[in-house]
Amino acid sequence: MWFSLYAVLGCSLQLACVLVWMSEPPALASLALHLAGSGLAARLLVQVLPGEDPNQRRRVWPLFAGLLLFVPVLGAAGVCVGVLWPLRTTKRPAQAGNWLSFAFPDWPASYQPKNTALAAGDSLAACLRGARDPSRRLAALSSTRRWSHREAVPALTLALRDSVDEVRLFAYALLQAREKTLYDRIKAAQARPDLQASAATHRVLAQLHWELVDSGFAQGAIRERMLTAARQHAEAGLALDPKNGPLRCLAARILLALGETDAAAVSLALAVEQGLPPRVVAPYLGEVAFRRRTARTKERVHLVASILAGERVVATSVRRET
Amino acid sequence: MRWPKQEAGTTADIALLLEGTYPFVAGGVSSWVHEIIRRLPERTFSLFFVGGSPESYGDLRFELPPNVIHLECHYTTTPDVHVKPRLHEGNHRAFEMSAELHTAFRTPGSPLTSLMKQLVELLGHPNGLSREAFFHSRSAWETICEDYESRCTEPSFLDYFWTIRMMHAPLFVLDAVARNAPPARVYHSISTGYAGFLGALLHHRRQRPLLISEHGIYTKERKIDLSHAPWIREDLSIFNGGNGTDVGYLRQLWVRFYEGLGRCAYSAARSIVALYEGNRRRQIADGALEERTSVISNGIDVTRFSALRSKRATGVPPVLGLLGRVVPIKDVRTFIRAMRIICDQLPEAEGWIVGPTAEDEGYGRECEELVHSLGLEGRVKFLGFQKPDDILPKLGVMVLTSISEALPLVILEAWASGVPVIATDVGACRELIEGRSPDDRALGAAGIVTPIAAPEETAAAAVRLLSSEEEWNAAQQAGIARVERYYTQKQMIDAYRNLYHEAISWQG
Repeated sequence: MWFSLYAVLGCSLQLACVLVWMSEPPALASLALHLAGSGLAARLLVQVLPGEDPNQRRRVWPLFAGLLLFVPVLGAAGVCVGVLWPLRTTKRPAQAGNWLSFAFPDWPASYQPKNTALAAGDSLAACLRGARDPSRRLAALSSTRRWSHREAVPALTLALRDSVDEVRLFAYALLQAREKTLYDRIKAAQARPDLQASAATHRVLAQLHWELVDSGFAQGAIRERMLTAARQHAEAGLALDPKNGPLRCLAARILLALGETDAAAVSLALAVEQGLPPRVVAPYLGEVAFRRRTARTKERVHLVASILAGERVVATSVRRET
Repeated sequence: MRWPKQEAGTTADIALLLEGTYPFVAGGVSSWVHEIIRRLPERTFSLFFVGGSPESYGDLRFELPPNVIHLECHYTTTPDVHVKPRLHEGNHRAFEMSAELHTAFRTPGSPLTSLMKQLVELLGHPNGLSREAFFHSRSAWETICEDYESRCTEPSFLDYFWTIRMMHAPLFVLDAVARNAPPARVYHSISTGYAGFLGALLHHRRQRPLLISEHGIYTKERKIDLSHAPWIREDLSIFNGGNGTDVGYLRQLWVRFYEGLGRCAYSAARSIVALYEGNRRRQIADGALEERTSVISNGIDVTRFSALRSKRATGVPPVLGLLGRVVPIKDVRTFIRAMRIICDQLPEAEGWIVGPTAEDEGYGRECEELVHSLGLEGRVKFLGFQKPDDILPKLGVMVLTSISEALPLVILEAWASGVPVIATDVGACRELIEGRSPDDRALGAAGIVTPIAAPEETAAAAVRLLSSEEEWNAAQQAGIARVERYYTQKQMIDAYRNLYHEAISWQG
């Protein structure tokens, strides 16, 4: 029905355009009729195109309309002879013959698609607790090899309780390898000849002992020992280099872990005074404020503002507290 | 010391196939082997030791009993014999058979016996799968190339090629051993792996029965070692098709290799013995036929150790002992950490580490450094190798922090000597301490089971036992009753005597 309507309307408009042009030439009316007639005629020609995709037709329509508008008569003839006729008369090869059917090939022997909980988007802990297939739990553990100590250690510790030997032993091996890396670095730092005189070496040792604690390798009484060692190295380093802001901040974190909140607050304030950006110190100040439960609303606002803007208001806030 | 050599024309009753253990390494498995030989004086034994490289082993650690009539040692990393390579075609049919065997390895449950028989005929044969053909023939090269193209994922061809060569080279060493071994009536391998594969070769070549006794599960232990072995090259970056959770192809290849060796051994074995039910189920899962599997628990000479009870002083000595080699699998570091916590609560407590440090000197040093860094000098002592008879009467509690065990003899020895045990929840430790049957459980807990790598829990258990004389006494009595009823050496030796008798009587 639409095809007939386009044909009748398009031809009528083009005829009207010619009649108007020939009787009295009012350019605007004639042009409008030609424009409308070209559009409808192009729509008619598009309908004649072979193929089923309506998007293709929509894309071709402006081209045809343009040809009919700017090249009257010859444009329409050209579209019919040069485009429509060849497209409709040329026989296309049978599509079915171009395809060869065969079964899906097997997966390579090395790869079997695994419906692991990880792939399904579950958390690693959920996979370690819930996946029935031990190979899925092993895959979950394997993925921790790319993680930081702090992220990996809780997952590996959880896997140490697994019911399957392989999973437990694999988790243990990964945990030991990580721990050994830290202990080896401690040993190497302790063996440096400049140990007593170098703030940098003390800072490294404080950092490594702290990492053993912070990552969860050391628990209970061992944690206390490691924290004490970290503190001693941090203090020794600060004695040699009192204006070391980052080391001061690390010392504050160690003090916080030891429960010495006031000393930590002083250390953090000094770290800011010594040039450490307040943004770095702000989370630990937040911890100090939380532990003391003394932070007033205004100070909390300043704290948040400092985190966002990196301003030095934090230092003022801390001084007031201390 | 001169090693015994089997005289021509004689046949040993039992050939023991030993990988990395007796008589060159001290430990639970070695002690077990020594006792089996000693307690069966009516049988003659020949010993075939298979190790990695000669440098890894020192002198004999045991005085060989007089019924050992032969000892020979072989190493899987023996350097190449310098023969000028000669390119030749190789036997395509032999390599096709080898491909069939590998396909069977990749298919769980597929039968291996007939393929193994064919392999044994071709292995080492000049026109079959000889060492020369494997290293220098066109057929071998084409097989490796085809396998690389069709199966290998991320590794380079170079890594794959050398891995395949390195992996298979020991099999030619074992084949030579099997060809030249002096005769025996029964072959008895104390593990799967290379020793088990040697047993399979001997069984097929000599048509004599193969027995396998596994203390730990070899394949499982290799799998754990391989999971983090730094010498295996792999690139699992996303650019190489890895997704972070994959295990590299070469690592998988090594795991499958040891699984394949295990299946070859299981398929050839007439009888497969585990130390406890958990390991028997594992053997079945790994390819052993259920009807060929059985459990024979470890047992000890209770009379010898019960005599030590009279040497104990009254009261509970605040001494915790770890009896075992100082190696990572015993997790001595957890024991030391636990000692730190224990000493904070019981300042008079002492920890004794009783075992050789020579096997892994680096680990031994790490442990000593940990003792130093935790301020435990004087509280934790490394006593080296000592006779259990001298140590056990002085202990308050025996502690085992191992991350992997089967059925540790040292627990049985401690009980028989009147010492309760704290052990990690590995192998048969839980069923040992808490009992495996209702009757057994009725005897009570002979100690406390703790998780692995858990110094806090280990320390809490130790403090509990050492602080409560009532609980300590109950655990002591349960341990004595359990070992006397279920774990005597006589029960174990009788079971093996019967097993050997049946196997020797077997006429094929």
